[in-house]
Amino acid sequence: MAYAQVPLRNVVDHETASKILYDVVIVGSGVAGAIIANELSRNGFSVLILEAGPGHDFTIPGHEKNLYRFYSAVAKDSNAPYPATPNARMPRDFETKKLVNGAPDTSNSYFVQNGPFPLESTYAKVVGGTTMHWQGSTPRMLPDDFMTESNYGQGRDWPIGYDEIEPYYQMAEREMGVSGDVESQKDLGLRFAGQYVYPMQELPLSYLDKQVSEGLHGAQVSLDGEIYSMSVRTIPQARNGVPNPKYDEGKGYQPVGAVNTHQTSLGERCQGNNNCVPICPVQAKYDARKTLAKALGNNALEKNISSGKRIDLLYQTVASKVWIDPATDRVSRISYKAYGALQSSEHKSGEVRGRIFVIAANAVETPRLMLASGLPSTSGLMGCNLMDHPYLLAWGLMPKPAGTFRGTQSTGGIEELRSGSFRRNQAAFRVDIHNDGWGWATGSPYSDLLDLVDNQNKFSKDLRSGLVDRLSRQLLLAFMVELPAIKSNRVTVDSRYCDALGNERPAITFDLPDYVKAGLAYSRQISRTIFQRLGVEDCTHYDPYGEVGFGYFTFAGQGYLFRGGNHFAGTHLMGHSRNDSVVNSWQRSWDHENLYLVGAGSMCSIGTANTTLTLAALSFRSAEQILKDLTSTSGT
Amino acid sequence: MSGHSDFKLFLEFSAAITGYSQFQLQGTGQAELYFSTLIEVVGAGVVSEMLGVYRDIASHEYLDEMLKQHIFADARWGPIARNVIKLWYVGTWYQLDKFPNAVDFKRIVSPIAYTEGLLWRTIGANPSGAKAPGYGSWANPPTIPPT
Repeated sequence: MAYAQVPLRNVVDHETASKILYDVVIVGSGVAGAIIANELSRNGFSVLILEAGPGHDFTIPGHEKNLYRFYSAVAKDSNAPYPATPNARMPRDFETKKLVNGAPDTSNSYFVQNGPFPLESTYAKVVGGTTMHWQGSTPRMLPDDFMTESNYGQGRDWPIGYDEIEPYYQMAEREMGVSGDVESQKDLGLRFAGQYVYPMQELPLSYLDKQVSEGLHGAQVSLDGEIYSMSVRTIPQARNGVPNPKYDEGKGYQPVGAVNTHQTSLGERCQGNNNCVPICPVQAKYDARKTLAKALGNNALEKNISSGKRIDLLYQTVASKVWIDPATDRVSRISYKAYGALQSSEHKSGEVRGRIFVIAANAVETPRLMLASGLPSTSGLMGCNLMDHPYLLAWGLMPKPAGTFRGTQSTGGIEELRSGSFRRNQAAFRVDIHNDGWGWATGSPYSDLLDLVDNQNKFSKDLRSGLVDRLSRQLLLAFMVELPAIKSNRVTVDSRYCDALGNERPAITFDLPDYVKAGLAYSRQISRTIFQRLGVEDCTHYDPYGEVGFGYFTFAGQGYLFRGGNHFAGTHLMGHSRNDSVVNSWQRSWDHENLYLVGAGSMCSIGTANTTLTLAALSFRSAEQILKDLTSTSGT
Repeated sequence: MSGHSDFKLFLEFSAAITGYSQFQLQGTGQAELYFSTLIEVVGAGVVSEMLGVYRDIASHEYLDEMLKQHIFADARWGPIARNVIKLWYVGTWYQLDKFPNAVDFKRIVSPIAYTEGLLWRTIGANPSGAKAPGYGSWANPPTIPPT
């Protein structure tokens, strides 16, 4: 096994960096920024990465500090392990509140929530970005998902299709180390080139998955005149498993272990810690530091040493303004605010320069920075078309103990309803079977313990058997429902609402169309069918007055509740011209030819796939174009 | 703290209300911390008094019934005893009084208190994020320890 060695020699200070004209300046050290940084620096170009969050965890002790912060945290939300600072705030689930009389929530949550639905989704600001706390699910988008407007009259078509992205999906799957089974993905209509297999074999289904699978056997549903058979298949995921000897035409695959400054044996196979979100203790899950480690290692390449081309990373450095040269419409420089102590707003301002600029700050922070710089784009679509996956949760108790709370958080899913003619009328969905119980929906296992002790007056052996009965039988189905691009769902900024460094906070305007509500409602119906089939005691209830009641809505007379999916996208989407979109298919800004806006913000639709694999694929594709740009202008 | 005259009684009491043996409780390495946390929040005198009530019923033939009557149904001891159960099961001190003070507020009393929580072993699982069970272990039926 290889480990991801971080060389310590590439420490640059702000003063030095501000004197260098880099070939490329990248804002954001998440997966998109890391992939592009590595591709460019290994090809001999100089790169500077700015990261807004702290960057002290490039070592095992640094990682363990995060782990112990997680152990100690009472609120174990997605960002619990990572150091928080008011200078580069992260949205927190528990900050989300119901809007009072429909008025925007401008209080002290990071997001200004305009409603009508406040969105509880989050992301991380730390070296490695949100891959530090992502779950690691890496399904590809379906070919159909790229043309929902043409095929179903919903959302927007992409300017490119699945087959153009397919080779880049392969690169992303190699980079992130995906475990999965190609054959079961082909059943869904996915096309894979040649004899392709994933780098690693699929992770085994959990005992819980297998109980669901046995119970479902042969279950069929009819929708829009078509029959769908439901089955359980493994979820492709960026998590180390057993390398597939058939990978890469029989060359096999070497998994990448933990990130550290010296040799370590951590990070081999997934150990079933049941904690992918918010932190994998053994680093079996891919995070962007693994790619950053490679990128920073390019400083040791002979050609880079001899040409003096460096790759540098400045953390705790918040990009605050993008400057345009009015004569050329090109980006001339980016201003930053760099802070020292996490809890002090004392900071130094400065500027960095490059020939090409890449904003890879995520689908909320990228448009936030552009809008705060007064750059709404010719189309006016900067920040518009905000997408996320609304989730509908359904939960119940299996007839017998099923070993819940063991294994990777999700190993199996039900995917047959990801596409079909019904998409003309209602949104498609994918189902994850959760190995971590009802936690997302109810706060299990803590809520169950409190109920058994405080309300049911259980103690001693009765408490033990009560816990087994209540926890080990838990089944939670998470329905990820597609949300098409809708212009009015958007990120904006408002100079009245700034953070500790005086940077404008993102304001979120978010609603669900009936098309999506119909998909959510149908998901609930399907959950009942599944539960009936399995003999599951349905415990689902949606409380409009509960802690997460802000996601409550009624549809056709029934009440439902949706949760945020943390899959922000669409806010600088790609298209055919400067009038219909913000970037072209290479993610290059139509308005500024040396500016790339990369990430899920460029996506025109997200279908029923978690966004990271696709945005990673797009990053490889953009890196190719940036290399061409740099080569063609290298004399200038 | 282990030399404290009530510590041994605290362990016995904890075993009686958690359903785990003193040996298993000691094995978490958290017993002294939980005892000192309890004393810190409610005071040594109150702890001593409650443990005294327990001592008087400890050898009763129907101990569980006695615990219900004299501890769990008691307005003073019930909330404290329930909190001790929660400490052992999830390493968390839950705020007792309506308003928090410098010592009585919701917290995980130590990072290891989280990973040593009895809840996980009760259901044959590992604490999320610690004590890795190993690749593929999740594919097998759970091994739930007999009570």
